[in-house]
Amino acid sequence: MSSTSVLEPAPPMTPRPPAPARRRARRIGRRGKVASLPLLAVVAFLVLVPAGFVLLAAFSKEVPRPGSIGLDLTLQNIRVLTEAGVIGATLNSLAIAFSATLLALAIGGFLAFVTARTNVPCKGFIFLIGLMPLFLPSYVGALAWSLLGSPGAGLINVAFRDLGMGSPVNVYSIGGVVMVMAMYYAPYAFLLMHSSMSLMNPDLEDASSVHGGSTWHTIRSVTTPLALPAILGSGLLMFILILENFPVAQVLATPGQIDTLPTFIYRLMNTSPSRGNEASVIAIVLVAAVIIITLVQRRILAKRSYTTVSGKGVKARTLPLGRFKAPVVAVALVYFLLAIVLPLLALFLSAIRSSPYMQSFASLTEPGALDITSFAHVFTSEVFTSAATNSVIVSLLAALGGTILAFLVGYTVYRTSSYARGLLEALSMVPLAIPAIVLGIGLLWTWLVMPIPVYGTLWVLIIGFVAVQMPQGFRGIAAAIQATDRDLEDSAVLLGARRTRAIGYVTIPLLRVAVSSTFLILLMLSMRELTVPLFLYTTDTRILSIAIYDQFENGGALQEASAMALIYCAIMFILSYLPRRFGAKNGAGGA
Amino acid sequence: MEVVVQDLELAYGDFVAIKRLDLTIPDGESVVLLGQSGCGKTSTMRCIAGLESPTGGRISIGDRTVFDGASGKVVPVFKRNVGMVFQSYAVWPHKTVLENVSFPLKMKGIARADRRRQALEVLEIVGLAHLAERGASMLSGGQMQRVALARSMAMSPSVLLLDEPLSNLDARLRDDLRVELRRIQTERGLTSLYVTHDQQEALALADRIAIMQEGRITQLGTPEQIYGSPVSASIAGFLGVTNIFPIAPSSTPRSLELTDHDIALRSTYPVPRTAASVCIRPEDITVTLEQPTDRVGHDADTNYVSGTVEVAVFQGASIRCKVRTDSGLPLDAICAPPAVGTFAPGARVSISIDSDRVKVLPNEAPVSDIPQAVAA
Repeated sequence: MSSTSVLEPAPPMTPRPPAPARRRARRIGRRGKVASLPLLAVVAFLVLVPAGFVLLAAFSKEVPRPGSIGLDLTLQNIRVLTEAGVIGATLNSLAIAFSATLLALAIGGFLAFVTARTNVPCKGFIFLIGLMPLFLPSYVGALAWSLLGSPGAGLINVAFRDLGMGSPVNVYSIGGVVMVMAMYYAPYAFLLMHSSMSLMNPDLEDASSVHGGSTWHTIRSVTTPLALPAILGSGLLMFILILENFPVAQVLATPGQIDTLPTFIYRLMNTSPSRGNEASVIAIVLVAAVIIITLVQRRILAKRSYTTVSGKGVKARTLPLGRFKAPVVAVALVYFLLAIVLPLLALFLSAIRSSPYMQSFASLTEPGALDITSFAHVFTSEVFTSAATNSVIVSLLAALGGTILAFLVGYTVYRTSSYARGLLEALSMVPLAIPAIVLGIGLLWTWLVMPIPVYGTLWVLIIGFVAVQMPQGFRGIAAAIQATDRDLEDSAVLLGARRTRAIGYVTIPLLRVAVSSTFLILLMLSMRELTVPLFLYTTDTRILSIAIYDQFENGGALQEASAMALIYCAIMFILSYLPRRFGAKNGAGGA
Repeated sequence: MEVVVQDLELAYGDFVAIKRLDLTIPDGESVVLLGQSGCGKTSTMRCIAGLESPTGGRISIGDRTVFDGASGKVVPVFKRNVGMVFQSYAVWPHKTVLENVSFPLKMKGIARADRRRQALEVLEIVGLAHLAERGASMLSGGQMQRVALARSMAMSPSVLLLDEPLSNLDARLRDDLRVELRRIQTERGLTSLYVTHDQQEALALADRIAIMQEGRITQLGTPEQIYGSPVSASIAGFLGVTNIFPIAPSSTPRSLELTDHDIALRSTYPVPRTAASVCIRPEDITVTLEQPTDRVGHDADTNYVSGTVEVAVFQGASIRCKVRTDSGLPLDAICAPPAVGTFAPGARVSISIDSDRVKVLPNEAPVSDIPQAVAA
């Protein structure tokens, strides 16, 4: 739209040259500018069509199915909002998200402060404690905790009963959901706050002490306000993630007859006959809530400048802990125990126990009670091998596709003068605002309706993953493209290379760290995603996360399921370790 | 090769960055585009390189037209054979010095052995042959600058463009490299276009300087011409004339009335009809400690005023001082240290300015003076 105004500004005294010349020149410019349009079409198709189907279904009598996208419009579905269960689910969701966010902030903030700003012993280990729950997908944590803390057969309750103390623990409760969510989302708070606190310019705090502020006064009036953007930012991020989290709520809240919005949506989809249209209405409510919170987060963060990050060579001040050393380490260890050690032990125990039922720990000493061969069974079982193969294929292709798409979008947005760059960027970020459960439903309907035979193959999972993970991919690569001087590439073109050759010779090698770590992050995200494939998988296309979830849900094969979950955790750990390893090795290659 | 830019225009939406610009760089000459940031000088250079698409006009390099808005002809960047040294150097950090410099030769399809020999020859010229195998990220700023220059020279460019190449270096190195650049440019007969906002750099490196203001070239001439007779007060200000005061329209050369100060000066220059200012170089103001016999007023050749020193800075060979005349006019002067006494703040001084040093210039260069083809 701006190009038409080129004709407008006429310096008064100079006569205009003939118009045709000008128009021609503009056309030349346009050729390079439309390069973004095919990309825009792809991105819009991946994201907007599924979202559109959910929106359509909310106001339609029928859900989209092959041959009919359901254009029979109605407002009847909105009545679902008055159902008693919806109000309850909304309140539960908000209560869980709010308390779990606070708890996660407390855990993450505590560990971040302790590792970044105090002289706590074993700092490296405590840092690792803060990070480790990231490697354990939250629903595996939830499954493990259902082994540990279910009201009847939970291992903790068994232990208490052995000691004659009844069975006090019940994770199938709001408290249980809050605790598990908080434990597995705390690393996000930890990471954001740790970087903010360790990069804080010590001069700012020294200024307070020089002018007479005591240590605690300084922490209260300088350190905390400076860390506030990170605290608020990570808090709102976690609030959204917890609000839209489906797996943990499904594993822990549903058995206790507690509904959250995501589980309510899932139940509506899975009742018979399916109530997809009403599920869509609730989905839209959930999306609206997420968008509002995202906007609030942006507003808050935009007002603050991150002036705590003052460049290189800053060594933040450390606070001597003195006699608080032991209690601080103890708190960290308790978190480690609850988030990592106990869940893994529970999985291990149930993987090697031959009987799924256990009355007391004493029964483990009976001959034949323990059987290590389950791991071997799992490795050779058809379920595991096919799911693992599928997982590997899907994750590799999704990560590859996602990385390529992210590079193309990032390059177009930041390096060309194409049309609609802002729109392209905005569209790439849209999946952030759409909870996985909603996007899963939208993708299901989209690819059921499409005349291309993709549904029922691994391709639908790959397409779904690429769509869901677009924001993470885009952000990873875009930041690197922005940080790389575009003159580097332009100079190759000036020196006689074609643009594509210049990209290959200069830009991609310079971005290789960003590109490869984006690839690995997408790979890991694809491996751990559960909610979206839950709607897209079919019997032949089960992936690891689905297989584990299924086996736990069906209950029958607890031993195999636990063994598989452990193997899965090991894979996740290796995958999470790789980017760091890789990034560190090539870190020196920056511009 | 000769570069001819005609009627060039570049607009981003409503904003016109380059307004109908004409410029010729004769073969083997060095032209410097001098102007403040945002005046369109870098955009002009990028249009010649092909990194920006002009909205109109014509650019030719040698016999070849590389851009023509009228016929729609655009030669792509990589076929223009234009060398460019970026402000950021743009030396590829993931390659060695030799790989950087031999890249254009590789693009020309020259065999590996020849490539190496030619690249080393060029590196020899910039004095970096001994670092050929070093990774480019290990170099200092000045060395990177030389690699960038060598890389551009290795392609035997039709024209070499330099975009503020010295601005990221420290002062000492900048002086050295400036001389070095001028030597290479004249020795090799490189046709070059150099963009800078630093007048010292422009004066040192140019065969001709083109002053650029708000998307137009407002004055074109040799460094001596530009320095000696700027055509407008704003250009004079840009070239280090610090005493610029607007004059009332009723002024005559015998009595230049300053609009903001109750003082009249005398000049040998005619008063233009448009809004104008007096421009006095600080070096042309003589300041001496006041003697009882000093005159105030002016005779035919010299303006005499008395005033007070506000601050004086000793600079070795000279003293730079701010003085305020009794009528309140602040003047910036660079003069010899007084033979007796010092310019202490508050000291009474007499100030004299030769009337042929008091230039009267229009505030802005009139638009009709822009060198451009007369449109039919």
